[in-house]
Amino acid sequence: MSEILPLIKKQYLLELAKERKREDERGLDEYRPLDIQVSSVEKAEGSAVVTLGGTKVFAGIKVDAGEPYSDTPNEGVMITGAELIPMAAPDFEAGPPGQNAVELARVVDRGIRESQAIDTIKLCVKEGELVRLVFVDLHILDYDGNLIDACGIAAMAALATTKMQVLEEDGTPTEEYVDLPVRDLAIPCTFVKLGDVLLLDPSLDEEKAMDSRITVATDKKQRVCAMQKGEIGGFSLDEVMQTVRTSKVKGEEIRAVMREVVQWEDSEPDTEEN
Amino acid sequence: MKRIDGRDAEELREINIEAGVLKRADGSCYIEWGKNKIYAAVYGPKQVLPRHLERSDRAILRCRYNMAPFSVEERKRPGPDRRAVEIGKVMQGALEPAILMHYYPKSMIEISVEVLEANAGTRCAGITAASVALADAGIPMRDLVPSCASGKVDDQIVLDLCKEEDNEGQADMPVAIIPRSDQITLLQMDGKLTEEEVEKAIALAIRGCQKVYTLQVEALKKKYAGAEYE
Amino acid sequence: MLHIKNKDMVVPGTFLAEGDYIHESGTYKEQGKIYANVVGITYVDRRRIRVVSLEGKYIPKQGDAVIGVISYERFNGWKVDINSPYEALLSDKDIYIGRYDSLKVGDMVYARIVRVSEIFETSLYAKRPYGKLDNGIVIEIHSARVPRLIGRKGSMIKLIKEKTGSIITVGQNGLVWIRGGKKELTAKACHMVDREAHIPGLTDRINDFLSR
Repeated sequence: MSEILPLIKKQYLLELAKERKREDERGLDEYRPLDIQVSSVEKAEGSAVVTLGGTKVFAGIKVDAGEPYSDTPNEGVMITGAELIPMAAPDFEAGPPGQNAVELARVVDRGIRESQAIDTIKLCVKEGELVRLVFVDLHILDYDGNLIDACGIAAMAALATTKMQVLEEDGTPTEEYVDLPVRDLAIPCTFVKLGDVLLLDPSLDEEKAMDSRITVATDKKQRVCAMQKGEIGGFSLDEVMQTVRTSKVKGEEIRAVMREVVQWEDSEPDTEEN
Repeated sequence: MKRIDGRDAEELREINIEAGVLKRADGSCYIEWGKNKIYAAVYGPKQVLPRHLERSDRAILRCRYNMAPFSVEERKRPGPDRRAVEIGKVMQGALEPAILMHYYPKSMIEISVEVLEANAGTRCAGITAASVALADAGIPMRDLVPSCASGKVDDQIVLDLCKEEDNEGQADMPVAIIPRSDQITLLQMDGKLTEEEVEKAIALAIRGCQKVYTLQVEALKKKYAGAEYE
Repeated sequence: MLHIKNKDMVVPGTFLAEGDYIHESGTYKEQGKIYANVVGITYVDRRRIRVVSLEGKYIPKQGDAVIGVISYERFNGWKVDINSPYEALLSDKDIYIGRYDSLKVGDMVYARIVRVSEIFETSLYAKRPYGKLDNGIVIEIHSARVPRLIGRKGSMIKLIKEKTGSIITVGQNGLVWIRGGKKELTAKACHMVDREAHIPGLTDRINDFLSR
């Protein structure tokens, strides 16, 4: 079937939303079934496959070494990319990343970067000359709604289980491997607005029917570290604050699941300054 | 003589094939072949875009092969490189002869192969998976298309080279066949082989393909285990 | 000589028979031998052999009733997506649109296929009893499972209608229009048939499911 959402379907979803119901009988603040698998690919230093409802995404981490940015000479670098490969949906076309792929990568990146989940100082090999480069590559395999959360979760889980080779100061690799220094688990929560109702973790059809979308990423202390309003349409301040409150709670729930899967231990449990 | 990974000359690596693994694609397949991890997906038959590529008497086929950046030792830049583009083309040559293209005039069939982890023989695994994905999509075909490589390693003609053998070996020959007619639809070779060695290697690869074929059939039948119709 | 039995599961290329047999859908003949060309179940009826596919896109057939989505407006009608590699055309002469109403992109119609050319150019007719869908929900199943949803002499669809009170219109192209009664329950039952069409005992399972 073409990717046009029939009007009769949109009407139905709006009616359900007004009654605070959803097509798959979820609560308005409920995630679809979530599955996280880590270390799926040997060649990658870290990897994760996340299935969220029918959406399936793959995050692969490759750790390399190179020059730091001139304004942060003693910090490692994280680079995030996303590919909406043709197999994931009938209307995904081959080619360089378009606006959707770029926005997806940048929003996922923002949550992780601003939460300072990766201790980039520890990625410095020789100040001003050599730092670790952490490549996060998101490969979408099956698109069934809410790529941002699926990718954010996959990226974070992959990073939290990444092992990299220790380097000498001149860049020579040693035999030793060490965990990527991950001190937080940033989790994005994405909502769409249907009429006046906010729905967490939109399904494919809910995304097609939406007026607009908002993502709120939180860290382990439930502080907001990234936000993105997406697509056309608008939110009231009340609506935004509602999503923030819900994200704090639901983000923590996802974080708890992730902690289990990746066996993450908080290396800085009581640090105020982060 | 035993090989680097302990296999006999005619022994395949471990292969697992699963049909119907993706929700959106019309047909799909996931294959683990040795350490290779590959997805194949099919969309179609569907409308041809751009329209001018349409053929009034038959469908057209488009094949894409791509390796994920994290699929290899040194990170690969996203998107198909020249090697991937060539593989897409030979994949088409391998699969199209088996598809009954005239059933769907003015339409397009799109095949997508994504390598998530690579360890030599990805095009063979990709063609094998794509063939299953085509059947999974219900696209009429003369036959399935199994694919397997043979080669020469340590002066011995062997089946299904792993990465270490591919790197150190003397020849590599990926092959695909239409089993029913024993027609070879993929044949590439690099290295140095005498005439006798070529014949031996092709015959061995064909035997490998036939083993792979039984795994393809199993995977498709498994999807409908317990099938019956009233 | 038959090489398979009735109701066998086969894959493309499976050798079915040779000799004096008539090969029908899901099969092809080469040098006197008949092979399957899809994954499916064999049906042998005396000397006629066919393979019923469990997958595959809907191909428009004259006389079929289908449900589609308006995908494009043209100067004298519309293009309709009927969930097929081939789109259909509906002329504004072949549907009754009230004075202040109109068909736009995204609307759905229930129509009959009146003409299919050799290259699958498809024309629709959507006047009474067909027309625009104005209420209810529409779900999608595999078009290959439609016969299963309808059932032998309509038995399955009748069972679902009785148990849910819904009005159900099944398009041959796999789209199903449900209105009235317990719509969501009806939708679930249809999806269940789609998923489990190949597993024996389906009628009992649907009956149990709807009786809870």
